[in-house]
Amino acid sequence: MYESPSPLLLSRTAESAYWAGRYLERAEGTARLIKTHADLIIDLPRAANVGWGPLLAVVGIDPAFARDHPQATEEVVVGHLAADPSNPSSVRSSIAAVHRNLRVTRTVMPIEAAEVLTELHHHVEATAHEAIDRRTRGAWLTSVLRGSQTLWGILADNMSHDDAYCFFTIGRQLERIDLTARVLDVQAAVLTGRTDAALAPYSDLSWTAALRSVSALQSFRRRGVSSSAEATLSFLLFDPKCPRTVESCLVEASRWLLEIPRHEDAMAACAEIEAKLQSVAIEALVEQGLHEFADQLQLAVGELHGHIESTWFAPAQAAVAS
Amino acid sequence: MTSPWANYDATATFDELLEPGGAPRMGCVAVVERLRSMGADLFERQRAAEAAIRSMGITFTLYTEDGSIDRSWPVDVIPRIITLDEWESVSTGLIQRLRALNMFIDDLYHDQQVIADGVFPQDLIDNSVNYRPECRGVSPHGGVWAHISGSDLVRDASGEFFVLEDNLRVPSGVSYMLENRQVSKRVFADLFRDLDILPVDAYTDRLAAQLKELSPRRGIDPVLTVLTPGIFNSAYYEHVLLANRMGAHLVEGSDLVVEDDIVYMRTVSGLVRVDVIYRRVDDLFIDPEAFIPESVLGPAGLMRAWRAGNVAIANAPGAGVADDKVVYSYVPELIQYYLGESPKIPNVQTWRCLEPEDRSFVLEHLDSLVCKPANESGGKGVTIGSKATEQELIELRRQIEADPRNWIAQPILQLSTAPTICDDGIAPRHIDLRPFILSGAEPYVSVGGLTRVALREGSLIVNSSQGGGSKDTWIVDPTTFPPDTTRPPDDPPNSSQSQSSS
Repeated sequence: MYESPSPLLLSRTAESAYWAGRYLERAEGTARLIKTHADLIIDLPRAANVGWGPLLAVVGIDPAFARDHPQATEEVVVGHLAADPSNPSSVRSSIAAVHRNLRVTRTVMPIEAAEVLTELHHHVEATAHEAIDRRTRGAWLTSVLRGSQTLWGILADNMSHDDAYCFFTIGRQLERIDLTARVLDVQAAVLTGRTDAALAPYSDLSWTAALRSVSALQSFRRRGVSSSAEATLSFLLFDPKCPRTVESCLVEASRWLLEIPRHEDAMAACAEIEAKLQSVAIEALVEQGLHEFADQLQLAVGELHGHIESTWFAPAQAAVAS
Repeated sequence: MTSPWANYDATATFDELLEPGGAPRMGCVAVVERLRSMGADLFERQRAAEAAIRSMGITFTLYTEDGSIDRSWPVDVIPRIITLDEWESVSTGLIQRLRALNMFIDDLYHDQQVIADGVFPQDLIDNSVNYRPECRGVSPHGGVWAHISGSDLVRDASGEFFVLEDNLRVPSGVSYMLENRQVSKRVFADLFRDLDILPVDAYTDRLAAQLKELSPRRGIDPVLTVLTPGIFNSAYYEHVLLANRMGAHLVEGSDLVVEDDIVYMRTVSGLVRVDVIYRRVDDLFIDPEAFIPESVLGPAGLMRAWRAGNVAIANAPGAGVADDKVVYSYVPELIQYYLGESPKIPNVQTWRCLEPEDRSFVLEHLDSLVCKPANESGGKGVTIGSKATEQELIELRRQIEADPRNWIAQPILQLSTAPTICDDGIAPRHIDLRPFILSGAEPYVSVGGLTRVALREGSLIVNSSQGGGSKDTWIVDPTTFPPDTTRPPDDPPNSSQSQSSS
C-alpha cells in the first residue's frame, strides 16, 4: 500500500500561500469588476446617473483618496482600482503582493508557476498605464486575467495537492466569497434609492453585469431561467455547479480545509456561513437589505479568516506532532 | 562583416580559451569554433540569456544606502572551459585541503596538538574573532566541522591554479553555478547536443545525502532544514533554491523553537522535531542565548541542543575559525602536519603582518601588494596597492600598524582572463573560480564551480556586489569530442573523406 503523508508545511509558508491565493484572486476579481462596470455604463442611460462611484465604494474608499479626488471620474476610479501602486487593493498592487510573497511561496510553488508570476508582475508594472485609456483597457485587463488563470492552471495541474496547495485554494475561495459579497454591494449601490421609475428597465442589465463580473453569466444563461433579479441573486448565492457562487466557494473551501490537520474551528466557521446563507429570503433581499447582507457575509468570511489565522499561522503553538 | 573575435588580444595574461596567438586552447577547440561561427548571433544569445534570467527570477540582492534592491543576476554567456583531467587534479587538491582544515578545526576544539607541536601560534587563536570557546570539547559526526566550503581559485599569468582563500563559514554562490547552467542550456541548446559537457546538477543530491548522514536520529527519515536569515538576505535566492532541490524546509529563526534541548519547527500540524540544520546564518546570530542576545535569526537554546547531540548543524558552529586569511597562510604547513603530504594546489604567496619581518616588507611595498583584512568577506576592506590613492595607502598603513594580526598581503596577481561580451564586442576580462567542496565520509567537489568575472576592463574585482558578473563553467572531456571538431554541428560528415582518412 502506498502511503502519502502530506509533506510538512511551515506555518509561515502556509500563511504566505494563503495570502498569495487571496491576492491573486483579488487581482482577477478587481479586473473583472472594472471590465464589467465599463460595459454596463455604456448601456445605462446617462440620465440614470450611474457613474464610477459605486465601484469605488465597493473596494472601500480611503478618506485621503476621497479628499484628493472629489470627482469620481472614470479616469480617477479606474486608475485607482487598476494601476495605483498606493492602493493596496488595486490590480497592480495585488499582483505585486503575490510576487512579493513569492519569496516565501517559491519553496512550495512549481518553478513554472514562479516564472509565470514573475512575468505577469513585470508585465503589469511595465504596462499599468494601459488600464486607464479606454482603447487599451480591455486588452490590458484581459492580459491580467489570462496571466492569473495560467498561474492557477499550473498550480492545479503541476503542484502536489498537499497542504500548501490547500492554503492557496482556501485563500482563493475566501477571497471569491468576499468578492461576490462586494459585487452584491455594487448592486445595492446601483439600485438602492432608484425606485422603478428611472432605472427599472435597466435593473436586469445591472444584474447581468453582476453575473458577468464574477464570470458566471454563461453558466446562468445555460440554466435557462428568466433573468429576474430573484433568479440572478439565488444563482449567485446558491448554485452548486457554477464555481463562482457563494455556495460553491464554501463547499470548495471546506473540502480543502478538511485536508489540513486541526481544522475543527475553521470548519465550524464554514458551517456558520452556510447557515447564514440558508436563512436568506431572496425576495425580501431584492427589495431591501442587500447591502446589509453583503456586509454580514463579509464579516462571516472575516471570522473564518480569524480561525484560519489562529489555528495555523499564529506563532504560539504547543501541540507536538508525533 | 568582421568577426567580433577579430580584435581579441589574448597576450596580456593567461587566457582560459585562447592561446596568445589566438588559436583555441586544447580542449576548447570545438566550443571556440562553434562560438566563432555564430558571429554576431552570439550577442543575440546574450540578450536571450538576460531575458531568461529575468523570467526565471534569478536575482541577487544589493544593499545600498536606500535599502536593498533585487538585481538580475549578471551572466556572460561565453563559457569558461576546463578540461576534465585538469579538473580532476584540482578536485583532489581541494579534498586534501579540506581534510587538513577539518582536522585542524577539530584539533583546535580539543587538544590543540598543533599548537603544542609549535606548528601554529597560540596567540592567533587567542586573538581570533571566529574561535568559539563554546565549541570546545564538542565532537561533530566524523570529526567534520566545515561540511560545505568554497575555496576561491585563481590562475596567474603562467596558467597555474592557486588557492586565493578558503570560505568555511557560509560560502554562497552555488545556486548561481546551477542556474548559470540552466541559462546555458536554454541559449546554447544546439551546443549541448553536440558536446559532452559534464552536468553540474548532482551537487544538491550529494549535499542532501551528506546532510542527512549527519542526523542524530538513526533509522528514521531525518527532517532537514535550511536556516536562512530571511527574505532580505542577499543570498536568500540561493537558500530557496537549495532547500527546494534538497526537499528541505527553508526556515527562519522564528520558525524554530528549542524545548528540552530539542529543536522543533512550527508547522501547520504543530511542532515537528528538526534533525539537521544547514545554517546560512553566521555563528554569532544562531542562538541569542549563547551569542548576540538581540539576534532573532536563530532560536534560543540551539547551541544547547547541538552540544547535547540532538541536532546536527552544518557548518558546525566555530568552523569559521579556519576562515581567516591568516590561518589561510598556514594551510600548506597544516596539510604537511596532519596528512604528511605536500599541498597539491599551492597558496598564493602571502605575507603575515603579525610577523615583524613580513610586516616591514609589506609596509615598504604597500603600493605593489594587495592587502586584506583577516576576517572580511565579499572583497570588503581589500586594498589593491597599485590602484589606491596616496590617502588610502596612508590609512592602510595606519590600520596595519594598529592591528598587524588582522592583516595579510599578497602580490597583485595577473588573474587569467576569458573572452567576455562587452559593450564594444568581445574582450578579455579577469576571472576567478569558486568550487564548492562537501566534506564527509565521501568528499565531493562540485563539477567546476562558479566562475566570477570582473566586467570592467582591467579590473580584478569579481564580487557581484561590486560590479562583477559570472560565467558558466564547463568541464569537458576533449577525448570524447568528434575527431573533426571544426565541422559545423549540422553538416553531415563526408563519408568518402572519413573512409580515406581511417
